[in-house]
This record gives sequence, C-alpha cells and structure tokens, in this order.
Amino acid sequence: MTALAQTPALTAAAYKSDYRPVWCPGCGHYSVLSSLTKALAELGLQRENVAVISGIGCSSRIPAYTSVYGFHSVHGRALPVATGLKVARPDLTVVVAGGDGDGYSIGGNHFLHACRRNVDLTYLVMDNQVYGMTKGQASPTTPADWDRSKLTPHGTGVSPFHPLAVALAAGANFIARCYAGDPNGTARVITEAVRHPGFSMVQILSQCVTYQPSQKEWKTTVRKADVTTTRDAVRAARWLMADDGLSTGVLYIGHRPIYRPELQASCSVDDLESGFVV
Amino acid sequence: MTDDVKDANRIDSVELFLAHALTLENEAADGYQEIGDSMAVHNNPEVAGLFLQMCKYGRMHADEVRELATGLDLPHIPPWEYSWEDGESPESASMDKMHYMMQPAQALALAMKAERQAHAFYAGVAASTANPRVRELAQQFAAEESEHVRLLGEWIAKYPPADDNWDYDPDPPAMPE
Ligand SMILES: Cc1ncc(C[n+]2csc(CCOP(=O)(O)OP(=O)(O)O)c2C)c(N)n1
Ligand code: SF4
Ligand SMILES: [Mg+2]
Repeated sequence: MTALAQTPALTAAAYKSDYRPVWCPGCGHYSVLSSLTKALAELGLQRENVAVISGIGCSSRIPAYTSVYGFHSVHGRALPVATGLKVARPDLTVVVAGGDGDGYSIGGNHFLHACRRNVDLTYLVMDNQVYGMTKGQASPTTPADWDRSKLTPHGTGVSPFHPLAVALAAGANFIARCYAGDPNGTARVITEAVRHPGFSMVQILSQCVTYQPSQKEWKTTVRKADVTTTRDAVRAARWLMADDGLSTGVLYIGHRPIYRPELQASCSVDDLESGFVV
Repeated sequence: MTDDVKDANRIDSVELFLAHALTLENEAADGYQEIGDSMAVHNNPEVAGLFLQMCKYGRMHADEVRELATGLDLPHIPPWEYSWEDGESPESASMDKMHYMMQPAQALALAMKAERQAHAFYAGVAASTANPRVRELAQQFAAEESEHVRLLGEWIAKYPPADDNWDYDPDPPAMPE
C-alpha cells in the first residue's frame, strides 16, 4: 500500500478543481465529491500521487472536479483502466468512481473480476438506482416496482442486484456502505478504504433528485448498521442478505493477499526475440 | 443528548474552539460557493448571486477567526471528529434542499436556518465550557450570528414569498419516450 503521511499537508479545497460541477442542485454526487476531497486531505496525499478513474455517467464526471490526476474513461470500463494503471504504477493511490449503471450493468463483469483479483484499488459507486445521465432509465439496483420510466411503465419486475453481497462473494477485501447525506461519515469510510490494502468496495447511496426524487426520504430511512465490522465472511454474508440496503458502515474487512504483478523484467528483449527466430 | 455526551463534546480550550470556528466558517463559505455555482450553471442568476454574497461574508468571518488564531497552534481534527451535534458543520446550508428553480425567499430561508444552527452551536459552547476565555469568544460569536439572523430577516422581507407554482418548468428534465 502507498505510504501515507500523518498530517494533512493540503486542505480539502485544494483537491477540488476550478471546474463548476454541472450536476443538478441537490444531487448527492456533490457530497461525494466533498467526502472524497476531505478523505484525500486527511490521507495527506500529494495530488500528483493520486488518480481518480471513472466511466461514464453523471457520477463519472467526478475526476474533472478534482485537482488530482484523472481519467474519464469509457462506459463500464473504469475498473480495467484503473487496474492497468495500478499494476503499472503501484506507487499511485488509485480511486475508481462511477455509478450503479456504469459499475453493475455494462461494467458488471469487470466488477466481479476486480473483486476477485484484489488489486489495491478503492471503488466508490455512487448508487442512485437509476441511469441519471441518460434521463432516468432503470439500473440493476432499481427496485422491481419502480414505474417512473416510460421504458418500464409497470416496473422492471426484476429483482435488484445486491452489490455488496456480490462483492463479498467475488472476493472484495473491504466492504462498506455510506450515504451522501452523511458527508463526514463518508469521508471517514473512504479514508479507511484507501488505507486498507486490496480491493475496497464502497457503495454510496447518492440521491438523484431529478429522476428518483423519492430518494430524498433517505434522510430519514438510512441509518447506521446495527452490527460492528466483521472479518468473518459467512457472518457478513448472512447479515448482508438480511439487510434492506439502507444500513451504513464498514461491514466487512478481509485479509486476502493482494495482487501485485512482478514489475522486474523476467527476461530481456533479446531473449524474447530469440524465441521467434526461425 | 445525554449529559455524558454533552460533556464529551465540551470545548474547554481556546485552540480547540477556534479550530471548530474556523472549520465552521470555511465550510459555510465553501457550501455557499458550491450552491451559488450550481445555481449559476443552472441559469438561476438571482439566487446564485445571493449565495455567492453569503459566501463572501463567510470568507470574511473565516479571516476574522484566522486572525484571532494568530500565534496559536490549532489542533488538527479529522472531519468526523468535530464536536458537531449531528456530525456535520452546523452552518452548512445543505445541498439536498436545493432546487434549480428555487426563488430568493426560499434561498434566504435556507441561509437563515444555517445561521441559526451556527448560533445554536456557539451558544451551546458558551453555556457548557469551563474556560472563561472560550465562553467570552463563544458568546461574541453567538452574538455575531444573531446579528446575521437579524440582517437576513431584513433581507428576506425585501423579497416576495415564493410563487405557488415556483417549480413549474415548461420544459422539464424529461423522461425519454
Ligand atoms: C457504450 C455506451 N453505452 C451506453 C451509453 C449511454 N450511457 C451514458 S451514461 C449511462 C448510464 C449512467 O448511469 P450511472 O452509471 O448509474 O450514472 P448516474 O448518471 O446515475 O450517476 C448510459 C447508459 C454510453 N455512454 N456508452
Ligand atoms: S440527473 Fe440525477 S444523477 Fe444526474 S446530476 Fe441530476 S440529480 Fe445527479
Ligand atoms: Mg446511477
């Protein structure tokens, strides 16, 4: 894991860029940006040693609003881009950010394998249970009876995806849920997630006030989880499957070995070429 | 809040108090700036102007606190370990209450709520601290916040209340056909 300084050298504001977000006023993604910059300040990381990698979506615009390195990649492909970056530059702190559509639909298979590979990445999924950017279609985490989209006028009729249970089964090393309405609590969890070695999965309930206005109710329905963090995957699985998806906290911390590729060349170019001589 | 919790959150040193005040004022200003910018981006220049004005006042107050802290070694406190009542800085006008079509009276009412929360924080410190200098500073800051509440009240009186159909948008963010 990257060496972390003890005291913050920069304020949270120093990690924000001069670009004004185009998110709708009231969108939860503003708070996530604030939590992320507070966490980076708390970690005392130099800006040139951090990269935020995203896919496509309202949430995936976040790298542009930070002053660290960033890459606004292709829809669903944030995790492979970030994995490539981290294995090539293990000295960097790599944060991956995006939405539920980006991460669980088009990027769903990358999500499974990122958990399984356990490269030292922190994945922030700003989950609003909808495709916000493309004007409000159902996503994998949308409740089955959500009938507000003209594409699914009678609801999707499909069970929502359970990202944290899937992350646990696939091998993620740190599993947490946060809420955009609790920015300081979210900053704390992001800080812990970055510090924890391996693949850290942080689901952040981040309301889409435009296409999922009822998520304003999260203010009263989201609450702290009634359990302490466990290191026991079986216990975590049982708890996650019984939960309604509105409890927050660090729910599981694992200790699987992380994937670090051998960066030393194992043979020379000459050796390689000699294998092709006919 | 139980008495135990209140005691745990009691602020008894000038450095700790000024660290709280500085963060409160900085986060208030940052929040107003963010809301003002988002209103400007969403073509609501009047409300943007009000929030950016509030931001300017917030920055001035932060400068005043910084000046009071000159020569003192303020402690570093992680964001989640401040003695805020609900975990968040009290003068933050919360973004989740914002709407791109909101009208000035509504914007100022939200700013008023934030100022009242700041007043309650300072008054609470003044009432609970054991340090006379902290009490004196907290009373002074609480009085300033009261003055902001009064000025905001005058400001609000200059604007008509929001129209009944204030959020009617003839071209709303549309669900695709
Ligand atoms: C290959 C490809 N397919 C589809 C799209 C259209 N598209 C853009 S963003 C998006 C979904 C975004 O939803 P989410 O990741 O949940 O982000 P949010 O906007 O809700 O924050 C889709 C389907 C695209 N840009 N590229
Ligand atoms: S459409 Fe939804 S997710 Fe996108 S910026 Fe607006 S509120 Fe946020
Ligand atoms: Mg989404």
